[in-house]
Amino acid sequence: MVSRRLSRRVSRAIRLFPGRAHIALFSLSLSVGALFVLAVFGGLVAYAVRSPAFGFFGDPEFRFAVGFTLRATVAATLCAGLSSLGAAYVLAFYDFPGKRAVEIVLGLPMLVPPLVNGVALLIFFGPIAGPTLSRLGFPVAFNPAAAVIAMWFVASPFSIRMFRQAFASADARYSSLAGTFGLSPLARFFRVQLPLARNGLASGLAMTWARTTGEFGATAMVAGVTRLKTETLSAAIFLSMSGGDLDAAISASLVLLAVSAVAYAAIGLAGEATRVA
Amino acid sequence: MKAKHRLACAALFALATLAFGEGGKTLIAYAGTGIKDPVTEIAKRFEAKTGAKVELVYGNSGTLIGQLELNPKGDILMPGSMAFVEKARAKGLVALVSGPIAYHVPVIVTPKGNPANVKTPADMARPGLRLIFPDRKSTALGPLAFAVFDGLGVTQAVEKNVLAYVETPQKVVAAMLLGQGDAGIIEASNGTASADRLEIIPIDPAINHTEVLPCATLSSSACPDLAKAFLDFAVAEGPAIFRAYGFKTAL
Repeated sequence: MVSRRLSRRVSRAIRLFPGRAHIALFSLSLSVGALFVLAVFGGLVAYAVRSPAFGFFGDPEFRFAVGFTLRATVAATLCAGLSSLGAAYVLAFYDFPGKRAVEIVLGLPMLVPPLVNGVALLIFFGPIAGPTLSRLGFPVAFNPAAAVIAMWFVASPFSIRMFRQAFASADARYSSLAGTFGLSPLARFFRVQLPLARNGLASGLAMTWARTTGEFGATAMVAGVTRLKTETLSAAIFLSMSGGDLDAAISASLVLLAVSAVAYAAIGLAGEATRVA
Repeated sequence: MKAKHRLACAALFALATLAFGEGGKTLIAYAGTGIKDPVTEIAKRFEAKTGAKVELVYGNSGTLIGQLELNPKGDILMPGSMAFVEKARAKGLVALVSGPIAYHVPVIVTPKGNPANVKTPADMARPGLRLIFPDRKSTALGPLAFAVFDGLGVTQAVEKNVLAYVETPQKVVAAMLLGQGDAGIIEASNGTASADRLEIIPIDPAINHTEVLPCATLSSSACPDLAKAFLDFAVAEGPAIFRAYGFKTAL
């Protein structure tokens, strides 16, 4: 019944857009995709509203998890952004022997499962670099710094990739034109290339931040899930779920969902604003 | 054409018989990740004996209960401790409970050679140690360890020494193998695979706290008789299998 109505609608669309039937089909896939995601998260919201467990909002442990998540993800995103800027610039504009190998190495943290990243980081900050770092007064493993480093490590392939696209898609003619006006390469970078890539860089940072917020496997492995010390919101959801406290897990998920949606929309709006200006 | 059709039907029927076993019955069993190996073995032997098929779903005990609450289907629940069966019972998910099949027994674990010389739970209160424990709310073992410290009156001193809490006792083992921390507490069975690279020190039974590993059938079961048969089989044959994997079955 539904499928007959659907096929009728599709055939009408084909008649309405001669030679552009594929656009009608693509629009259909767009709306079906959006509706499905909306239905899935709508279900989560509906379930949370039906059996609310908001008692934990006053819980110091929960408030710590929210604050720690914000601090750690922002720090990790800034670290990833700063460390990726130069790498992405070189990858976007220069060719050099072994470039492909470097690209693969930098992309590895994105390819392997988070838990493998975590084990590798724990080996590095444990037996390999741990004793030296401890002697220098900077023990990393199972400390809050480990959470930031794990998120940075896992998210940096995203920032490098997005930044590189941002640089590469900026119109190269402006840059060479600035060169003919006598701007030094450094001045060209700061006054032409960086502003031109602004929107791409901003959305790259947004994607990087999203990745750090959802990160759990690597962080839990190298930083632990110590309450009031290294517990992120993702870890809180995992621990509530493991403890059989479904309602708390769902409510915490809702907070993470709301914060992410608002931040994502805000970054999008900021991008629009700079484009208009 | 018709002959081909009939052949295909016969082949499908044969496949279905193979896949679903005698009577075509399949049990779905939910089990804690910490007892994965012995439960897999029990299921395999039950399948060999009855011809029924057992589908195993592993996860943290609490996660399993969450999954069941959202999607109540399946026949057997074997979580890490009685506390989780009680939790599932309170939500109306459990029909019959039997056991114990084995016990959760906390033991001390240290890196090879025990450089910090931790021999008893009371030693863990010594200032300056770096300790790693399974999480105190979401695991079966974390609360047991701290019940021991509570009994000795050293909980506050031990808490000052905590380097990290991790999600499972297995991760305490992993951290010790990587040289992190001076000591921790795990379940007796967790250390068996790497016993030669760690020190495993039993805790005096007079001060130790243990936990029963039960088996339960689910109220959602579509074939409660077969589920009951599995329960009886697990209680009868389970202890020997759990013993083979390093669990304690008598206290």
